[in-house]
Amino acid sequence: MRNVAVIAKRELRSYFSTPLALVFIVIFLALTGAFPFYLGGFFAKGQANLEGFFGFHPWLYLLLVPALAMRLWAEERKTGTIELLMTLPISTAEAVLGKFLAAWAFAGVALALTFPMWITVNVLGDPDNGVVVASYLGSFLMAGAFLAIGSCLSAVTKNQVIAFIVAATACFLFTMSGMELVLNFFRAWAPDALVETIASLSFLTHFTSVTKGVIDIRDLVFFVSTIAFWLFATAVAVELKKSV
Amino acid sequence: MKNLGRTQMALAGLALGAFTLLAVNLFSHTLLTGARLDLTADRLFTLSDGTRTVLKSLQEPLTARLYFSKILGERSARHGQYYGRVRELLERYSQLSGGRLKLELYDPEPFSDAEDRAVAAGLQGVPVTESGDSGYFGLVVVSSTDLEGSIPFFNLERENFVEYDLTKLIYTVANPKKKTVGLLSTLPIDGKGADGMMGAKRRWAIMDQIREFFEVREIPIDANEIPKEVDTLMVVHPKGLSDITLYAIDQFVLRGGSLLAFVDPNAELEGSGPPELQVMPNDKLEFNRLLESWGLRLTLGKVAGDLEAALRISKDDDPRRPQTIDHVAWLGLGKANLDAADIVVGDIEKLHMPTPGILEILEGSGLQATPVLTTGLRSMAIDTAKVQGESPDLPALLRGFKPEGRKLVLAARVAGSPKTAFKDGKPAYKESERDKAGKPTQAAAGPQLMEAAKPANLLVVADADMLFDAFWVQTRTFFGQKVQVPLADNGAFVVNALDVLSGSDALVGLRARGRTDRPFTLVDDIRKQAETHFRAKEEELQAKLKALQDRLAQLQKKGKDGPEAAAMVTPEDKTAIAQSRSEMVAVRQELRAVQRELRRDIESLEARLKFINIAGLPLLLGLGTLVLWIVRRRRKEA
Repeated sequence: MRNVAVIAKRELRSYFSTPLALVFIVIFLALTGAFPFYLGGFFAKGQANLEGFFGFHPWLYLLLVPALAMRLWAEERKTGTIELLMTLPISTAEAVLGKFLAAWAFAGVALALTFPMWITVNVLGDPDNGVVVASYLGSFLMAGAFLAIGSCLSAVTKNQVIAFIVAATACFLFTMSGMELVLNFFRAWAPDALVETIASLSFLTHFTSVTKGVIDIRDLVFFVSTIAFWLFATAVAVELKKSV
Repeated sequence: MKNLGRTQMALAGLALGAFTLLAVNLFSHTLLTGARLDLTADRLFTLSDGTRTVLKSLQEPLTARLYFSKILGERSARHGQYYGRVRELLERYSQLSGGRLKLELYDPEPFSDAEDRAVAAGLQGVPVTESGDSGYFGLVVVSSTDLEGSIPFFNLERENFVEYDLTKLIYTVANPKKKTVGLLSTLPIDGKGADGMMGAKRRWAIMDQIREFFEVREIPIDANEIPKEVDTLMVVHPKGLSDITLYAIDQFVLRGGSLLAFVDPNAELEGSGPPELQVMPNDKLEFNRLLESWGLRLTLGKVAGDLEAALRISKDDDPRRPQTIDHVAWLGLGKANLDAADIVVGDIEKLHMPTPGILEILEGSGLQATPVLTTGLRSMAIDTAKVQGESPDLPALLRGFKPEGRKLVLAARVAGSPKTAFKDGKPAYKESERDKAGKPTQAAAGPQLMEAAKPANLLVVADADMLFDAFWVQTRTFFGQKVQVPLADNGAFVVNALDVLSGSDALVGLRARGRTDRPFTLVDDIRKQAETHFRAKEEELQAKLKALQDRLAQLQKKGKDGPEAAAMVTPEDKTAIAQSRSEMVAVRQELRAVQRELRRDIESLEARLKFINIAGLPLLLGLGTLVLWIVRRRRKEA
């Protein structure tokens, strides 16, 4: 566990050694702030809730999280520092977890910095803060799931751009899989069980369920197991490439 | 070769991982239902005690048949999700009932037996495919004695009330007896005499609706006792009631009877009542004695006016120029005026209340009175005299309107244990008070209850006219059939209220807990402040304008009094006219400027918030980084 912490710290520090982190956070904050006001009609609706704010998160993550995840492994492999990392007395699992936790913590910081929105809505009216807490938690879990996918796909390629594009596509599929548009396509030929399974893997469905203000253990299990699976896949990918 | 083995191993591992992922989720999906942390303020996802009580008290086995067309879920994801919620709720109900409630699930495919049964049970199909196939999403609850009740279609709009609807359905099937409503009315609401007879008065539409759901029993207005069978007493315009009758109502409430009262300081329909009831304006309301013991008081001589809720009516004093004008004392209440958390008004969209009265909630009564209907903030108490008569001066009402900036209570619910209003014992026998048969009335025999044995359940509405057809419903004849088309939800409101009041205590406690309306209170405050400021200024400018107009009229009149008089218009007068005119233009401009000012505060608030939320932190972060960078550079240089 100590090794995980060491890796996570090293990784986090590396984020802030370049302006990348700042650019990422600034874009994230500006967009999460602008969308509810300009696209969501936050002020015109006059309702003291953050539905409009959280509603845009899946779509924002779709672009921003793969960007955050793409360098996790691809960069290490390109610059060759992965060899250095692997010579250290740590296991692949620890490295994978450490890197993921650093990225997740970073996403958490970005998410936490949207707090003015929470203050705003409390100043304007009397929102249901329980719902807001649940929504933040749901958003954070969803960011984790996106990151885990991104982490895995970054481990399979040296090229960050490819890592980004593939991760964004994968995340898009996982987000969309609950939508009727997608399900109808499968319904035409796939058995019901498969359609149900596809629907149950949708990030969007689980996220909206949490943003209603109720944390269902099933949503929790979904996000945690998804993260666990993709991290496992990352470790497998790193192991495989190591030996090549 | 070694590599290939590794790759194969890895792939197998991944497949196993994926399989585990699916298995874990499938397992949790089916087995971990109901394990959840409800963070909503109103505990929307937690079953209320009322539901638990109803389910535990089930005596006979019930079967709940939930129909849901899969095709509906495929076409509308929201219905699919809602179905999931209803199904889980019912599964939980079934657990809580200790097996007395059995749940059966059906998918009524087109042309199947299940569809036929769904239709026979009265479920409502909605067209879902281009070929017109129907989708169903309803519930039928059947008792062992073949009594049944149904929810024809689970409407998404009632999702916040789903627990109430389910529990109520189960409750009514388990307790099938119709409840009795006692009607004590000084208005001819239930009609008098047979239809078509001379002097017969038609029954009001509201009573048709009530009779659909309740047994109605008429209580004479000089009754000295409310019969035991009455579950809910509906009192309409209780004017001129004797102490004996008041005492009867008092004791009925203390006995645990629920009550729905429509009191009115200005019943527009008073004239249509029997002549002996046409008492002069309501400077005295005997019923207030009871209301006060419940922690309420009807403000006498005043009606509630509201600028925002004012109904627009046509003013036909000049037929050549039909005009519409806001009647500030005829209110069309919308969502904003209702306590959305109260099941009585939960799904009400619009209520019409002509000249409603104002209820005052008295402090220190020990009872809990909650407003159910209120005016908006731009409201004012208006003297009853100003709205009486055939055609009240509406423009004057509008001109003289000064918003008081508070919400006036139009209806309130009372909960708690009231004490009797007759602290000094039963009202004494009075020789002067005789009932129609000439016998002196006397308070009912038996000991007096001084305090409620059970918590009271009362709803007091400060308007009686809202019950009259003309204000909320149009009755049309359609191929010989009477069709009632409501213009407002007054009927639903009354039936809802009776329903909730006469339900078991458990059912009443089950308030719809979904508060969907959480307005920006700060914005409202700013608006209100700006408005008060604006009104004062506006009035000042209006007065100025009026003075200028008068002066102008005077000057011009001088000019019209004949040719010789015209010659009398001195050049000074002419310049005065011109001056007055330009001053008037200036005042008008100023008035418009003040109006613009009104909106400016809110707009600037929005702009500020946008800036803080979009650019605030990014700027701070950028600045912080810049400072850090400079500091580091300096250090390096040093």
